[in-house]
Amino acid sequence: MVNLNLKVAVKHKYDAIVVGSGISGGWAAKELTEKGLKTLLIERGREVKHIEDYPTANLFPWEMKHRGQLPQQVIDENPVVSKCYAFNETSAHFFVKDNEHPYVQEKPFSWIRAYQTGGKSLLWARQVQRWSPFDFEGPARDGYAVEWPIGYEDLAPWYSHVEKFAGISGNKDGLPHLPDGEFLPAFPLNCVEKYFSEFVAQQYRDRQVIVARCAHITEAQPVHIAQGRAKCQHRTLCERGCPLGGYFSSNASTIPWAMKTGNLTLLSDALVAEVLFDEKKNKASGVRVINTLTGESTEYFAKIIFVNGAALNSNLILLNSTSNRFPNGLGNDNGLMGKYVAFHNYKSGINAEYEGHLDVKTDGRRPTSGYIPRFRNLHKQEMDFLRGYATSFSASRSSYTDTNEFGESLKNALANPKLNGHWNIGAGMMGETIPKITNFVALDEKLKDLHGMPQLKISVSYDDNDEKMTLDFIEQFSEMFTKAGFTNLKIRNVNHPPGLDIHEMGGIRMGKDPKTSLLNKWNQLHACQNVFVTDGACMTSTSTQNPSLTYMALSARAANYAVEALKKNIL
Amino acid sequence: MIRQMAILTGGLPFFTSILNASVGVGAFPAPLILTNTLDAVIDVIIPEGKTPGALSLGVPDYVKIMLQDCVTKDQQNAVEMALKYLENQSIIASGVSFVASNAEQRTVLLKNAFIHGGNIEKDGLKVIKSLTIKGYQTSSHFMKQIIPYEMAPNRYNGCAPVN
Repeated sequence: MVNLNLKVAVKHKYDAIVVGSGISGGWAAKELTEKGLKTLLIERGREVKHIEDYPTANLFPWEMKHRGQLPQQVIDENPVVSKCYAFNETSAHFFVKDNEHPYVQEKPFSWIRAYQTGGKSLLWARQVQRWSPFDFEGPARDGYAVEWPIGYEDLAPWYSHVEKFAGISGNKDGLPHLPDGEFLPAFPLNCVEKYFSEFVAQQYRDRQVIVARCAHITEAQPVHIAQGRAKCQHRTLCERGCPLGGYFSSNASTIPWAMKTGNLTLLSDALVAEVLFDEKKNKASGVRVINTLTGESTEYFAKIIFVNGAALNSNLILLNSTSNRFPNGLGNDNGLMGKYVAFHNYKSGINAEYEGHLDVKTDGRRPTSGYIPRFRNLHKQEMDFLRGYATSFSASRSSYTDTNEFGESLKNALANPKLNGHWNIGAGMMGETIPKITNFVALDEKLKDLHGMPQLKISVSYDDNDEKMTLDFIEQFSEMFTKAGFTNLKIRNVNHPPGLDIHEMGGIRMGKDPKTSLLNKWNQLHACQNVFVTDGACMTSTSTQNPSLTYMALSARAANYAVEALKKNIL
Repeated sequence: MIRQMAILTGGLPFFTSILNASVGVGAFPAPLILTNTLDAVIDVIIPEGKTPGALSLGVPDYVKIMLQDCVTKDQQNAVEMALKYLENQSIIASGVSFVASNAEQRTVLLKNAFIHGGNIEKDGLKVIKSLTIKGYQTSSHFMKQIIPYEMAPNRYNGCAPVN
């Protein structure tokens, strides 16, 4: 028996284990394998290979049974995931269905998940704005959450590192509160967006309308060609998986790159139930994995472990990693694990019309939109709410068809759509929410999922700060739109619970003080330093930027630190 | 009160009246007679002509799949009510079924139903019409020959002149 166990232990031994193959786990795996570490990348979902496992990528509408729409039964059976904007007949196979991974909504929360190689990196909205010093300094300046243990200058070189490899399009806008990066040529604003940009620049000195930076290759560089990726062809069918690798995903980029080093082993259909703690060595020794197809448990061992299960699932795994030393979850000495969860406030948007620039229209498609960085409370606290919001902004010229007709005249009308006599304008807020001890996740004491794991209990909601900020967004954009000559304003009030932003963060936050945080400045658990958490769970605050780029940079930075620390024998 | 109104039409089976239908309707597929009526309605909306119409493009198959899978129970009910209404109106107007009527008669019946039908019938007709249009617009013929769909446009011009 002893011999057998030893054999198994030897066979299942790696230098590093990465839990989760999504956007952050893919980056950890790439960096670790490039530096020579034999790395086991563990993914709870099935294997999805780049291109060959994108079954809908090249389908035309008439080739799909419901022409892209989902059956009513699927919608009825999936009240949570069917609310996600990207969940449709072309992409449903990449999403977790509600019954596949139940959780407890102590307060209503839509938890959107994707279990397969690449995770949600196949499905994301690909918006990549850097954080600025104003964002990192927020908690300390305004007295919420805890102080970040790192600043912009710590992350800036790592932003550059991941941007060059991932391929980011954008303009150098020269904004201190939205730093420039390593950009490929930007997608353009259209005529009406440019008009609004110029109008805002003249009328509101504190505000800028720019094109949003996005993870699309607009001019393939040698590093992208070496990945087998090509220029984005403006298909805007991204959530099907891109056969060109035009946008960044783990599947198209980091995982095949890591695979080429010869140092990566990908283990699919493997749910990490817990990180194992060796009490004698006082560090983590490996992970226990449940094969999701057979239910069999297996242990894998490594010198370092990166937990990248996506924000809430990383909380679940570590809370479930109990030992004599850590009865409340690995590294959870202060009892704060799972607490201070935050997200982004998408509670409102405004639509309008514009009857100018009718001599032009748009032609082709664009995988991004306009963007207005945060302008509230930027340099100092000035509003009756904390922090602020960024805003997505776009204009489009659509056409219409008179469908009141029948027969040949209807056919004729359908063949000759007419341009609308106005542009459609849209803006949507993306507000910072304040992490609070009362917004938390925890393990349910009784309920288990299909694999015997405790169900995650989610207790997260909006607060007064979110309400005040939402009102300000409505007021400010109503004013800006009206002054710009936009008409027929329609406020979109989103009454849906949090979650659909898919920007949930925190629970295992970084900080300087082990008494008030779980991770140090290198994303190591204060109390178990060979375990790193570099996905959304590590976020101390949320600021207003789409967070994936920051997870990528944090992952690359932590992985390189881990390699150096291993060399110095301090892990 | 439930009233049976059985009408023999050109060898086709009987169907029940609108009043009967209001008692309760099962899910699609509806009885054969109504799917024939449905095909005939779709043909009126997008007929064959110089270019292919809905029938030759297979739109009825798509509409039936959608009626079965992708609409609500209320919408299924409304569609069935609408089809029965059309058949009843046809009998009243000419003594023959909608299916057996000529193209001109069908067009008049359908246009009138959009105006004079009850709210539920009108809703049902709107569902049929919008699905027919979507089926036509997403057909291979339409997306290749009428308004070509570009899967990969490889461009975005934000200031393209209107012709």
